[in-house]
Amino acid sequence: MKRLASLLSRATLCLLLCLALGAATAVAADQEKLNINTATVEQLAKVPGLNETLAQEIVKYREEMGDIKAMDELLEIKGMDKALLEKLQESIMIEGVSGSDCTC
Amino acid sequence: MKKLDRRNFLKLGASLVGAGALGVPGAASAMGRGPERPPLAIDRVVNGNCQFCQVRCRLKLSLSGGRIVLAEGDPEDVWTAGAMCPKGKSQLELVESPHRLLYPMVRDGSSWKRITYAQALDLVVSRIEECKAKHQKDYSGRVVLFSPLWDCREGEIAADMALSAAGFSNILTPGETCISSASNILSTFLGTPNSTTTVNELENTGLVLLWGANIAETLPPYARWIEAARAKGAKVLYLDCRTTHTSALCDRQIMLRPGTDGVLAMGVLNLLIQTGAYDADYVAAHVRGFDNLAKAVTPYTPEEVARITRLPAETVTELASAIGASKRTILWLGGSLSRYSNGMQTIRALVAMQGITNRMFGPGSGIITMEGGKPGDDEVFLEHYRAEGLPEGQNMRRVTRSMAKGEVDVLFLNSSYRRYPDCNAVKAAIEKVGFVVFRGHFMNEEAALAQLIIPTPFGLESDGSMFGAERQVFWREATLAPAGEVVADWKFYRDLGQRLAPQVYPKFESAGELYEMFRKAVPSWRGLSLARLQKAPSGVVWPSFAEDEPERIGNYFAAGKLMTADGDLELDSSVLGPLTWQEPKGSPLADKAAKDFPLIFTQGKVAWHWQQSLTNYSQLIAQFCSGRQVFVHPSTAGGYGIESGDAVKIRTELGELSATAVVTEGILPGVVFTASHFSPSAPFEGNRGQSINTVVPNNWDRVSAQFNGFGCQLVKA
Amino acid sequence: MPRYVMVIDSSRCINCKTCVAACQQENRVPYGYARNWIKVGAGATSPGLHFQPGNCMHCDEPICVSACPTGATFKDPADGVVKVNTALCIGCGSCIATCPYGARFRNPELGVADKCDYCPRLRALGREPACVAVCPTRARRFGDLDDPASGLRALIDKGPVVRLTAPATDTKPAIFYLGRTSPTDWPKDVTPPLPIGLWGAIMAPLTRVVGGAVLLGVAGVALRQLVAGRGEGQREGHGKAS
Repeated sequence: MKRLASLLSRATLCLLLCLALGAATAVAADQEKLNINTATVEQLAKVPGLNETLAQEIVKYREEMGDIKAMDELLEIKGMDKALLEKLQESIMIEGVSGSDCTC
Repeated sequence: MKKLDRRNFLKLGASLVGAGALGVPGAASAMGRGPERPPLAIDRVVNGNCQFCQVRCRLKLSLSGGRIVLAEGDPEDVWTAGAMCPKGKSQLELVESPHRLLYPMVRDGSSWKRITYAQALDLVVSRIEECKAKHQKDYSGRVVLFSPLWDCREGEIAADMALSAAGFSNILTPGETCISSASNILSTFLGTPNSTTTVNELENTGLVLLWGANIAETLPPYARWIEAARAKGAKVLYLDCRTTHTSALCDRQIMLRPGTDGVLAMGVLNLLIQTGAYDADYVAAHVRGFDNLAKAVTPYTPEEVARITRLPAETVTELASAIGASKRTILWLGGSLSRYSNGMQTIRALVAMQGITNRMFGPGSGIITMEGGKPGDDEVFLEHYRAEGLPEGQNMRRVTRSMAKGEVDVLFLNSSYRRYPDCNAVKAAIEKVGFVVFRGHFMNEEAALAQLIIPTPFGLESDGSMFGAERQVFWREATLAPAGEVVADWKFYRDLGQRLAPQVYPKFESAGELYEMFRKAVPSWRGLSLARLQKAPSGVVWPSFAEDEPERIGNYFAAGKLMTADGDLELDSSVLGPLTWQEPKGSPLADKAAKDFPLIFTQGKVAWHWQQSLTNYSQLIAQFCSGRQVFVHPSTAGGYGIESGDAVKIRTELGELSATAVVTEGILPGVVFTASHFSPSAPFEGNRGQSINTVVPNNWDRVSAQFNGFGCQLVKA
Repeated sequence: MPRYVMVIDSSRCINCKTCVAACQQENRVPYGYARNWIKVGAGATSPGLHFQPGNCMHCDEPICVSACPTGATFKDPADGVVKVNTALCIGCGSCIATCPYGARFRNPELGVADKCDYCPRLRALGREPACVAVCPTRARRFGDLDDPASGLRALIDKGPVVRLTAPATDTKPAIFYLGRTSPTDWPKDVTPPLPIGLWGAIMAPLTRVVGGAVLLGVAGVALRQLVAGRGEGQREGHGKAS
């Protein structure tokens, strides 16, 4: 019984540790995600799946149309497809300005 | 002169004799022009409010025989004390203008055919229903409203409900290209998109920073508050690249290169931090991201700031000194700051400056922003009427693209398309829209694009609630009956909404009824009953949760906390990224700038002009204007062989504007300025000119459009 | 008797032109004409930039009154305001030409000389002239110089004040500019159409000559009527376009 208990407690500890590590990894990954609305061309070009040309197109789109609200918007850029968008979820997040907040 | 017939000759003779006998030099009196003109015969005087700028001057309107013959200020008004400006005076003329549109009209070939309002409404409803039937799943972006500067809140509320209840989400506000850069930053960092204090606090301040804020011309009646601040010993510093009327009111003007305000702000921050001239205790307790701020501003030494802003380094240190030493500071953000593509970061730096010096709270401190008076919480009422699953509205750039692609079926053109940069491209996009409904006053460039005109009343002709710069809400009663068959916005959009969404759209027979419906539904408005407003000539400041609550005037952060979630100031922003500065887009001083356009273009509002070019229809206003002028420094003009009075062209990458040169030391070398609000359809020469945004390139920041700071050229015509 | 004057702090003026618009509206001045003005000082940049509001100076020794042949214009001893009696004005323009301040103009609708008269309708209501009431910065002040309650005497005495005078003649303008003001060199030389004394010397005997001729004419006509009887008079009255 004692052995089982200690095994269990070690397993729990191990599990907890893994969970903690996993969580930390997840948090770290989130913190490393680029905000597509503030990223520079250089930063985007380094993202797995993107290159200099695509990065320029993304920034050009963003500058012309304003903050990107949904990744799907990028589908109109030549060279982007659903699969690539799927892949980009790992390294890119979207945080946009909330809107015009006009007070006229 | 009366005809000299026999009778008159006798009379003349008799009086001459009489006069001669008396020796009085009134010998020719019988040849006089007749009796004194009778004085103005005024039947009654009623209250009113000016419909132009956000000061919303309280007026006393004198009526004679059913016409308004005089508009005077109201000496009892707490905000204006009887002041006005010529724009308010011009309303009397506009209301009676022979150029007014008075009846609904439908396009008939190249001319117009008058129809009834009922017919006009039917037309609009049928076009919208057609659109919904054809695009059953994705029509939400296919009906668009370009909102005007609504003459009353009920118009805006009724329109919002009509479109959103019918399932359309593209309601574009005029503020998107106005000062939304500033509003966005203020709401992000302070929790409110508005001014943080009321203008009377200028009487309690020690330092007024008019940062790009040409108050004497944009809000002339508010010059009294600047004068009041000076009378109490406050110092007024004015930052602007050119001489304006405000220059006569300040103690010192700092003429920095336009578009570099952010650099100056960061230079000031750098000095404040390095010299410890900030509130360390407040920062420790209530500010996060201070270290990142300090790091971001480190490169901006006085010398670096001087290099970019073209100011002497001493000016930078003197400014930082004054700000650091001041116990009470009001920062007045000019609308001009939002007109550059780097405006958001500029205003962010300025907010940080007020923040770390702890000048947000208490009497005589805070931030005043242009158009900073709109009360909040409209959403609490409006959300009840939104169609299920209504997507977010698109910004103007996306809407323009949709229109150009033929994806918009109906456009309510309640506002000028010429307020957008590269407005000819916007015009071309509008020309692809299936059905354009013009709502306005005059046959102008917007009406020319429409298939249907349903004219609007002036503020003088309709009841409604309105707000002013101090977030005061007031009730305006119609002074005149609406001319012709003009239809108020609240009525038109109500009728539309009731046809398109009869199950959802509320019923109301007057603006007052809608107002009370709204007021009762929104807690922060509960105290602002119609009855209370009708007894309050200067309005009542929002918010007011109960009628017997005292009015909230003064610093908005009464509790000494910001309106952010925890009351603290978070300087970091993942949405905005780090605090940086860049040249305005298209700046001639940017790397790789085209050499063809070496001068910096600036535009702005001058004292007598108004957005939407309404004032262009006033002869009173035209008296003070001399057509399009371009202001240029002698050293710049000399390089082109240009002298004052020369006909010149301002050339940009998009086109040319004709103007008359005014050579003056009152502008920085290398910079040109021309006033914004001329229009080709102006009936009076003083205000006639090509629309300025035909030559302004289409640059935006993340929120708002850029109108200044890009490159241009001057050419002798 | 009140003695109305203006005291102007031109350093407060922002050149908004509301005083011009307000005066036009209150006094029904046609567009393109003005009873008042804002002059722009010489400095192009702050702190030299300066705006100077002005209007008829309601001079204590008004040259315009001397220039007027009919007595239409006069300084009213009841209130110190220089006025135009439009019933007497023949529109000769002498007063307009002679004013060193260019304060007068010919009203195109009425054909008479027009100028500031300190808004009599508003004063009758106990209110300030339109230009004073509407100014956002209260640059213009108006009141009775002889009434301590107006505070104007005290302001002027405290000084410094500037009065703008014509180069060679002081017409004793009754507008007092507080502190510095600019520009100051713009009033023009006074050039009355004739020396003042000469005007009177010519008019008086001329009046007698003309008057005498008229008397003879009147006598002649009266005699004729007596002799010819009523019929002729009646016949003369018919069919004539008046």
